[in-house]
Amino acid sequence: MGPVPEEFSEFFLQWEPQVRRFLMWLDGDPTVIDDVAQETMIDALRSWDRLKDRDRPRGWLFKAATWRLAAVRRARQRQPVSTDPAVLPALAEPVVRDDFAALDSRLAVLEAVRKLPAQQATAIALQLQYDLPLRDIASIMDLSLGSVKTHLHHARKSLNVLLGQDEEAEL
Amino acid sequence: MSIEERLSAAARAVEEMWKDPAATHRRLRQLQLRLAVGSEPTSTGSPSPVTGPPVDALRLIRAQRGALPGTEPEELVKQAQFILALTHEIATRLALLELPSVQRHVTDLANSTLTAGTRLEQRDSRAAVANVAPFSEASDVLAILAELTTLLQDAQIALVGAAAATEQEKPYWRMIEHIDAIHETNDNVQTVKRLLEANLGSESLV
Repeated sequence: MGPVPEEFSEFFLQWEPQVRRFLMWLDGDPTVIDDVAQETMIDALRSWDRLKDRDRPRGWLFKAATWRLAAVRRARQRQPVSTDPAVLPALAEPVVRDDFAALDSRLAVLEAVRKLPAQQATAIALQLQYDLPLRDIASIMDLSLGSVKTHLHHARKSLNVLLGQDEEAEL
Repeated sequence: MSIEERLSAAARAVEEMWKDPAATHRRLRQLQLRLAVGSEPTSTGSPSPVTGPPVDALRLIRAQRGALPGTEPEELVKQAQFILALTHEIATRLALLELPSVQRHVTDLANSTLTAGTRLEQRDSRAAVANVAPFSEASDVLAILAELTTLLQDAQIALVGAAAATEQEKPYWRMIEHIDAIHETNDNVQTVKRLLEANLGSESLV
């Protein structure tokens, strides 16, 4: 792959954090978010001819991120990542974890969302984090409007149970 | 606090994350470095989860077809898993092209191959499938799908032969499971190919 075009750099700076925020609802492992966000942006670069003129590349990016998340999880299941420093190649830069260190109890609710079936969690993330209309969520998820409504309904029902259990445990 | 209020509070907290432009610039530099060196380590330093640089899908399919004859039954099962993973990767690439006529079917194909692959995979399976290069032409996609369906047919025939020759019950049923998965996948690939052929010319890949 050739050098990164200047306009892609601008695209990266604008959209990569949004991809991360989307992923935050689906997986709480910072290294998974790092890997998936990077893979997604490389997908975007490879498809740059298709993406560069889009007003709203968000749907494409979230779709790519969803697939990459599945691939990364699958690869990790098969090949657990080594934590032996002797095995790992040197990092160009230390991985920044400050964002995660700043987490507070407000984000505990995300753990409940991550326990939901993938499509329910994705629908909730797209609705709550980006305030997307249902038809946009349906388009991103390649589902009918009815299916999205069903996923959101079941998600809220399950969250009521999951978060209710949390509250009971705290008492 | 109600569930809706808690969810909204979480969304606001997530919105505050990754706002440091300097950190985003650092991640951009990491990506540029990764592309420049070509060794494709990820930001965490782990091996690339999708393994290595993109490889031409046709080459991969043909290599798999070439490897099928004479393969031992145990190896054949692993190869079937690899073929499902390869089909999943191709379906994912195709899904990202967002071609209206096949989008739903391609998504179904990507989902079903992911599910089947995960279900069938054993601990001793091969490493993740090589990263498939993006497609640039509609003719590329059709050629890939045509080769893929031939590969799936060949794999199915090889598995049927191996199952018929197996006397032990456990390996037999394991092969039957793989035959079913490959058969269903091939049906789905053929549907996508047929729809794409019917709509060729009305949809642009770029």
